[in-house]
Amino acid sequence: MTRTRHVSDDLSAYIDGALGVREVERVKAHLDVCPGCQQEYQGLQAVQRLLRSLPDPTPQAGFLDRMHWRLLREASQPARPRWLDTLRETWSIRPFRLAVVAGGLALVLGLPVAWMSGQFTPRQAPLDAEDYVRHHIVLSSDRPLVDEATTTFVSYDFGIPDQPPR
Amino acid sequence: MADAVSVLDSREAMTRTAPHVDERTAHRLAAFEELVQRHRNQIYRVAYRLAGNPDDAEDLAQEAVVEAFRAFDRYRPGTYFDRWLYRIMSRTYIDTMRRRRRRPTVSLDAPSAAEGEARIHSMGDSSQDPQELTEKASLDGAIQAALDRLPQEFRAAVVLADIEGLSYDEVADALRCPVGTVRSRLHRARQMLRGALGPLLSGRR
Repeated sequence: MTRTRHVSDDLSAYIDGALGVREVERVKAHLDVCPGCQQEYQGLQAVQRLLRSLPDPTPQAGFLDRMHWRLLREASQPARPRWLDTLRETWSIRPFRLAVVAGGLALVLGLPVAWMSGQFTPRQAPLDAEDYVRHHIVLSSDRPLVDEATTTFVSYDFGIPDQPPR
Repeated sequence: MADAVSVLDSREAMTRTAPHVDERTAHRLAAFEELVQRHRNQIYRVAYRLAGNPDDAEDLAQEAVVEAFRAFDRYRPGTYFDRWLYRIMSRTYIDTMRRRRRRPTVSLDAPSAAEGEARIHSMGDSSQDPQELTEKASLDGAIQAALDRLPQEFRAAVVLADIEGLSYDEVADALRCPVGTVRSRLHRARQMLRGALGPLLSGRR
C-alpha cells in the first residue's frame, strides 16, 4: 500500500469540483487507500445532502406588506448622499479598515516619539565654507603657532560660542 | 380569495396613509419591488438560515432590502439581482451580529421554546402527512441549531454555497473575501456541522 499525504483539507473542494485535474487524481488515489479520509469524505457529502434537502421556510403572514411599508417610508426620506454609501461600502472592506486603523495608530504613537527625538526642532544652518576659510585665514595669520581656527570651527558646529580674541 | 382581498385591503390602507413619494422615486420603487417580489423566496430563505428564527429573519430581510433600495442606482439591470442582494444581506447580517456581540441582549445559542415552535410552524406545505411534517420540522430544527452555532462568516459561506448553490467565486464576491478563504471557511463549517449532526448523518449515507 502506498502511503500518501492525508487529503482532509481538500475534501470539500473535491466534493464541490473546485480542484485541478492533478489534485483530483491525488485525492481519488488517497481515498482508495485511507479509510479515515474516506469516512470524512462520506460525512461531508452527507452534510451537504442534508443542507440541500432543507425545506423552504415560509415567511410569516404579511411579510411582503410590511416590507412594502418599510420601502415606502424609505422612499419618502430625502436621498442619502452618494459619497456616504461609497464610504460605508469601502469601510466594510476589512483590509481598508485595518489600513486606516494602522495609519491612525502610527500617527498617534509616532508623533510623540518624533517630537521627543527632536525631529521637529529647527536644524542648524549648514556651515558656510567661504566664511570658515576667511575666519581661518584671519586667525592663523594672527597666531600662526596655535591652530585656534580648528577649535573655533568645531565649537561653531556644536553651537559653542566663539572664544573671545586674546 | 378572502386572503387576496385582505392583502389588497391592507395595501390600499397603506397607500392611503403612505408618505408622499415623488414620481421618479415611485417608478424606481415599483421596479425595485418587482424584483423583490420575484426573488422573495430566496431572500427569505437566506435571511432565515442566517438569522435562525422567523422574527430575526424578517428583520434581516427588511434591513437588507432597504439597504439594497438605497443602493439600487448601482444595480446593473440584467445581472443577478439575488446575488447582488445576498451580498448586501451578508454584510447586513455580519454587521448586525457584530453589534449584538458588543451589546448582547439574548442568548443566540439556546433558542427558546417559542422560537422552536415558530420554526416548526414556519415550514409550510400543509399537504404532507403530519408525522412526516413533524419529523422534517425536528430535522430542520436540529440542522438550524447546528448552523446557529457556527461563527457568522462560516454560516454565511455554508448558507450561500450549500443551500443557495452559489459557486466559490460568487460566495467570495458576496462575502468580499478571497476564494481561498471561502474554501477553508466552507470546509471548516462542514466539519463542524458533521461533528454536530453526527447521529443524524449516520442514517443518511
